[in-house]
Amino acid sequence: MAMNLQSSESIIEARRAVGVKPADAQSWAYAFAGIVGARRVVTDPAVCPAFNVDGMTPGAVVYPRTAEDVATILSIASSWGLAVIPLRSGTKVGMGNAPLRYDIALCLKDLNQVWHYEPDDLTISVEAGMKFGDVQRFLSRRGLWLPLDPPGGARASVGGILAANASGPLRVRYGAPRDMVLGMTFATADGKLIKTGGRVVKNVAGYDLSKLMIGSLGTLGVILDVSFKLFPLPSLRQTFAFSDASLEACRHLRRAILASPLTPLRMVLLNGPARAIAANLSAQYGPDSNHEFWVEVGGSESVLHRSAQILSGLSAFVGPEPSKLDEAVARECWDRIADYTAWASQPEQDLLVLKATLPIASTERFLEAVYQESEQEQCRVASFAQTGAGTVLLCILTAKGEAGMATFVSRLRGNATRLEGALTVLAGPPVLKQYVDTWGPPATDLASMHKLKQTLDPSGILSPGRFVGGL
Amino acid sequence: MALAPPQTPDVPRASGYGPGEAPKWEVYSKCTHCGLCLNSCPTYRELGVEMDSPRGRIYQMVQVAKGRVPVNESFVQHIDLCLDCRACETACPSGVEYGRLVEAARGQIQTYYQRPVFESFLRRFFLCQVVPNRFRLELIGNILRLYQRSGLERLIQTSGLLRWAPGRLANVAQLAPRMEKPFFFHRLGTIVPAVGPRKYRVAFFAGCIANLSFTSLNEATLRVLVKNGCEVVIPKAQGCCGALQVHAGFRDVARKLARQNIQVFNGPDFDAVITNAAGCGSVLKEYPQLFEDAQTAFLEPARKFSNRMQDVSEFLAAIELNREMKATPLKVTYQDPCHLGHAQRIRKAPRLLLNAIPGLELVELKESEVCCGSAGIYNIIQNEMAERLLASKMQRVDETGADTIVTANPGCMLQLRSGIARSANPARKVMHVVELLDQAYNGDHLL
Amino acid sequence: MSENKSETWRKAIAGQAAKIAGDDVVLWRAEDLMLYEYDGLSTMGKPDLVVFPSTTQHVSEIVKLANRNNLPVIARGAGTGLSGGAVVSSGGIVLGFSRMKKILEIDIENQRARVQPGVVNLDLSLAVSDFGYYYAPDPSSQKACTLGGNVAENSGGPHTLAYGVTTNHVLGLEVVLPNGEVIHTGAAYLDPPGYDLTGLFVGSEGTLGIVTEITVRLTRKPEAVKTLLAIYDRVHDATSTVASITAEGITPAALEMLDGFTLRAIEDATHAGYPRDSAAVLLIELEGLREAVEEESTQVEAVCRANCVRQIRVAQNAEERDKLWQGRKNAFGAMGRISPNYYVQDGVIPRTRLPEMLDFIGEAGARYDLRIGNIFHAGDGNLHPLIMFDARDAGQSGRVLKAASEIMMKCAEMGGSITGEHGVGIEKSELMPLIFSEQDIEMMKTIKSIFNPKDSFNPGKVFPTGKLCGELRVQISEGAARG
Repeated sequence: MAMNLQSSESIIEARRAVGVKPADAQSWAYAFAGIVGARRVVTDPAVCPAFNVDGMTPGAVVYPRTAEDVATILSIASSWGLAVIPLRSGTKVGMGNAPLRYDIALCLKDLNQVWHYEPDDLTISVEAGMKFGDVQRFLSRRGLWLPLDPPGGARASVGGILAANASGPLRVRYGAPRDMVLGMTFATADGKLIKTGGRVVKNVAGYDLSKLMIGSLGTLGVILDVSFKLFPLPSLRQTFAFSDASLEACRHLRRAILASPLTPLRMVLLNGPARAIAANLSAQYGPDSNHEFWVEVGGSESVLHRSAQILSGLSAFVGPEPSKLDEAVARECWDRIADYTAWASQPEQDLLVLKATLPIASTERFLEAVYQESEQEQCRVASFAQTGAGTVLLCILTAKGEAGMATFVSRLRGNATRLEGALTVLAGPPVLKQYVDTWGPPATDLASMHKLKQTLDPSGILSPGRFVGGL
Repeated sequence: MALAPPQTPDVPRASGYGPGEAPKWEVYSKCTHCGLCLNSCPTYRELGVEMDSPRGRIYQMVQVAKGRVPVNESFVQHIDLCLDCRACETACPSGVEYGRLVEAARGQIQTYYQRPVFESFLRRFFLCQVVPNRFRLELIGNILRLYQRSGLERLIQTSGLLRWAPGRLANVAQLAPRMEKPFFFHRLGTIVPAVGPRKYRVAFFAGCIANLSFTSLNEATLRVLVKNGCEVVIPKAQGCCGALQVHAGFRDVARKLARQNIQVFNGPDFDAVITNAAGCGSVLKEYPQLFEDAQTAFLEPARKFSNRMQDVSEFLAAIELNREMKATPLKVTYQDPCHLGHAQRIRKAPRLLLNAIPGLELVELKESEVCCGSAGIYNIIQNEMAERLLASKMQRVDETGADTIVTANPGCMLQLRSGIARSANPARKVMHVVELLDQAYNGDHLL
Repeated sequence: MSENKSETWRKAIAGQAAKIAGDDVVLWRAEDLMLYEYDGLSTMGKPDLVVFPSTTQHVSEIVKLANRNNLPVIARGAGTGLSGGAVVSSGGIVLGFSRMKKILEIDIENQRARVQPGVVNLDLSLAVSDFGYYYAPDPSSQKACTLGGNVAENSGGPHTLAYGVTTNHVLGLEVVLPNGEVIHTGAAYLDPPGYDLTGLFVGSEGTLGIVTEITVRLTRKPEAVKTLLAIYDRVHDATSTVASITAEGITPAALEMLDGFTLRAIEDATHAGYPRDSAAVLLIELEGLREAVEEESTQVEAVCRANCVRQIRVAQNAEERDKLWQGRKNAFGAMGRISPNYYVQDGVIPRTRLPEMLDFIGEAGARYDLRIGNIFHAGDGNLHPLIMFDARDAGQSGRVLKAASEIMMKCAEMGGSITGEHGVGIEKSELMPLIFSEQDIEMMKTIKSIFNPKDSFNPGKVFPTGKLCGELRVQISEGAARG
C-alpha cells in the first residue's frame, strides 16, 4: 500500500514536471529522461531497430529501474497518447498482429530481482524482467524448478512468458504458466500498481486478475512481478524414442500412453525435418523419413525401469522397440524442440511459425492435412506435435511469396477449425500480417474483451492493435 | 458487532405444534444446514427444490417450532412427500436422526391438521382398522384373491376400464400384491424344529400383509433358518409391527401394536427375533422411540425387545452359515432396501450372503442406495413420485444386465416387480435374499 | 437492504417468469421463499422469486425479466457454500440450477466433459469412473455441491494439493451476462486466442455472469493409491512433518491434518479409525505409478519418524481408504454432534508457518474461552479452524467473531490469504482490505462494472461496503435451523 501511495504522488509530481506533450520524439524522450535518468532513455537510431516489432521501430527505448518508474512512464504515455510495447529479449516478438502505433519500447531488463523466496514452501516471487534461465539456475541449487519449456528458453523473460502464456512440451504434465502463477503486480495504463492474488498456493480472494494479464500480450497492463508455485526437479529423466512410425501408429501410441499408468513429462511427435532440427542437423537437409515419437519420463530408477517396460510393451504399435536417448543429448534436443527461434537458419523475423491447438484426438488428423497442404504448396514443414495436449507447432521452412503463404495459412486454419481447433501465427514476416490475422476469427466473447481493453487502456497505448480482434 | 441481517424480528412466539410429541430441539439443532443430504434425497433429486429436501423439511419443522409458520397445507404437502427412506441419515455428517423428526411431525399433522374428510377416513380405516386386524385382513385377502383368480382382474385390466378410473387408480391397481393361499396366518402359533442339532432358538416375526401375499417368502425364510440350526418359534399373538402407522403419524395406534408385540416376544428367551421385512425391522428396532415421551413404563421393555430384533440377513451373516448349497448360475443385482441400508445400516450382510452362493454373479447396482419409490404405502398415496423414482431405478437395473433383482424387503419387491412387469424384459425376476438362499439349499418343499 | 416486494407484485412477476421457464418452476409464495434464505454458512434475507431454469435461453430471458423489473439475480447451485455466496442480501430472483443437471457430453479420448451447472460434482466423477477417469477438484461437499457452484467459488478440496483447484480444470464456459447476452469463453482445446475470460469468471462468485454450461477437463485415475494415517502424540510433531514433507520435495496427492479435538468428534460420528487418544493425525495420500508410490511412501514414513510419529497405519484396501476419507469429508458436520453450533473459518498461510499458526489459534481460543478444532489442508497451508459455541449464549457468539477475525488477520500478516477455497461471499467482504489495497479493490470493481454495471448480479458480495472495516459479516445468532 505504501508503495502505491508513493507511486501516485510521484506520478502527480512527474506529470506536473513534464507538462503538455512535446511535438517530437526527441523532446518527449527528454521528458522521460527526467524520470528515469538520461542513460535510461535511448533514442539512438542504431539501437532502436533492435526493438523492432513487425518492422516498426520505436522512437525511444526506456529502461525503468523500478515498478514506480513503469507506472509513471505509463501514466505519462497515456496522457500523451504514446504507444508502449513492453519488451525484454524479444523471443516472442513475432506474436500478434502488427502494432497500430509504436513509440516506446519498455525494456524491463533492470527489473530482474528475486524479491521473495521460500524454498521450503515451494514459492518464489520474481520481477518480470528476470530471464527465465536465471530463475531456473537459481532454483536448481535447491533441486527445484519452474516446469516450463517455453519458446525462447533461457533467454526469455518471465514477463514475456506470462504475457504470451507460453509453454512447451512439459505442459502435458505440469500445465501452462496460468496454472503456476499465484499472484502478481502489474501496472495499468493510467499508472496504477495493482496487486492480485498472493504468495500462497491456494487463494480465492477477489477476482483472479492474473488470468487476464497472462496471455494478454501486454495489451492490458505491464506485468512487474510474479509469484509462482514451484516443483521439485525429477531425480532422473529418460527419453525414449519410437522411430520410423506412421501417423496411424503414432495415434495408437498416443492413445496407449494416455491410457497407461504413465504420466510422461513430455510427449512429442516429430516429422522428418523436425527430427533433424531437434538433432541439430541442418533443417534444409532433414531426411523426409517417417515420424519419431519421443516420450520423456522422470522419477527414480525404479520408475524409469518400469516406464521402460510399459513403453516397450507398446512398441507393438510401431514395430521396433523404443530406443533410449543419451540423457545429455536428449536435454539439448528437448531445448531445441521447445525453442523454435534459437535454431532457425533464417533471420528470425522471416520465419513462419504456426501453432494449432486442437482436441487431443484430432492431432494426427490435423498433421495429415498439414502434409497434404504443404505438398500442394511445395513447402517444407517441420512439425512438432505435443500429442498429449493437442498442440502442434509448425515451422514453415521454405519461404514462398507472401500471398502464397497467406493462402497456405488460411487453408491450414480452415483445417484446424474443421477439426474443432484453432490456429495462430506465432511468428511471420511483417508483410504476411497484412494478409492474415495472426489470431484468427474472434468468438462471441470479443465484445466483452473489447470493453475490457477500453476500460483498462482507454487511450489505447498498450501494444495497440496487436491482440485478438485488433485490440 | 457483525452485520446481522434484518429478518422477521425475533419476538418469541408460541410454537406451531400442539401438545404432545413434536420434533425435538435436541434432534434438529444438530442440523447445520450444510446441505450434504440434498443429493441423497430421492424427492430432491427429482424435484430440485429445498422444500422437498431433508434440510428444507427440517427447516420447515423448525420454523413451525418457532411459531413463524403454522402447520398448514404447504407444510403438510412437503412432509407428506417425504418417503421416510432416511437416505439423508446416511449422508448426514452431524448425525441428525431425520426419521424421528419426520415421524414426530407426521404425528402432529395427524393429530392437529384436518385433512379432507374422505382421505382422512380412508387413512384411518386402512391403517387403524384393517392392517392391524387379522380377520379383516384375511377377509380382504380372500376377496382380492377371488378378484385376481376369477379372471375379473384380467378382464378389467385388458378392458381399458381403468383408464376411466379417477386419479392414478390404474397405476395403483398394478401394485396390488398377488394373494398366496394358504395364507401364512395358519403358521402362527407353531414351532418349526431345527434341521440337525439345534444351535439357536429364534422367534419369527411374520408381519401383517405379508401373511397374505408373501407366504412363500415367509416359508423360504423358515426353511433357511432351520437349515442353519435354528428352532423357529412363530408366536400366535403377534401382530402388525406398526411401521405404516408410525410413518403416517398414528402414533397411539402404533404404540398399541408395539405393546402387544413387546409382550409376545419379550417372554421366552429367544436368541433373536427375526424378520425378513426391512421396513418392519427398522420400526421394531426403534420401538423405544415410541415410549420416550408417552407411556414411558414401556421404554425398558421396548429396549429389551429392540436389542433382540434382527433382520434375517443380519442374523445369517453373523452366524456360521450352512454352505451346503448348489450352484446357482444367476447374474443378480442387489437393491438396498432403505430401511435396511439407511435405517438399520445393514449393507454388507445381504451381499455377504449372496456372495456365499456358489456360481452366483453379483453385479453392483449404481445408486442402489436410492429409494425405489415403494416406501410402505407411499407408492399408493404418492403414486406419481413413486413412479418417477421407479423409472430411474429401472434404468439403473437395465444397466446391470442382471436377470434377477434381489432385495430384502417385501414392499420393495412389489414395487420392483411392477417396474419389471412393464419393462422391455418382463421375464426378469425379483427375489428376496433368503429366497435365493432357499433355492440354493434346494428348499422347494414345504416344511 | 430493500424490503421484499408484496405478494401481489411477486405473483405478477412469477406469472411472467412462468411464461418463460414453465409453470411448475417458479416459487413466489412466502412459505416457499423462506427455504431460500439460507445456505451452508448462514441465513440472510428472502428472495422475491425463485426460478428453476432448464435451458440457457431460460436463464437469459429471466435475467432480462429481472432487469426490466430492477431485481437483482442470484445464482444458486446446491446451497452448500460456506461464505454466503448463494444467499440473498437485498431481495431479487434466485436462479436455482437443480434442474440443469445434465451431463451433456463425455469425451474420454479428448479428456473432457461438457456439463450443465447443476451437475453434482461427485456425479460427474461417477459417470466417468468406468472409463478410468475422474474430475479432480473434490470439495468436501462433493456429494452434494454442484459444478456451477464450484466454478463460481473456484472450489478446492483435499486433492487440489497435487491437481490444482477448479480453475485449473475448466476449459470453457457458456455465460449469461447481466444484460442477458450469452457468450462463450474459452474452448474445448487449450490456449484459445483472446483474453482468459474463463479464468476471470471462475471464482468471480456470480458477480460477473451466470454460468450455464461448463467444459471441464477429466483426469485419468492413477495406477496406485496409498493412504497413510500418521498418528501423533504432539500437535507440533504433526505440523513439522507437514513442513518437512513439502521441503523434501514430496508432493502427496493430499496431505490433511486433524487435531485431537476434531478427530475425536469425527471418530464418534464416522468410526473412521482415528485413535481417540492422539493429539493429531495426518492423512497422507500418495498416487501415481506403483513404484513411485512405494518409494514416496518410504520417504514419507521416514519423515514422519524423524518427527516423532507414534504410529503409521496404511489403508490395506479401498474400503479402509474410503473409511479414512469418510472421516475427513464429514468433518465439519460431525461438529454438530459435540456442539450446538460451530463456525468454520478458511484461511491460508505459507506451509512453513503451520506450527506458529497453530499456537496462535490455541492462544486465541484460550483468550476468548472457546474450543477451537483444527482441520487443515495442511499440504496447501489451508486452515479450517472450527470454533465451537452455543448460539443461545449471546456473549459467546460475539467472542466467536472476534476470535475468527483475529485468526484471519494473522493469516494476512503471515503473507497468506483470507480464503483458500470457500470464497469471500458476504462473510469476508469486509476483510478484503486485509490483503488488498484500496487501489487493488478499485481495480476489481472496475472489472466488475464492465460486466455488471448496475450491480444486478449477486449484489453485496465480495466487495467491502466500507462501513464495517475488518469484520466478518455472518449471522452468529441463534441460527434459524439450529433452533
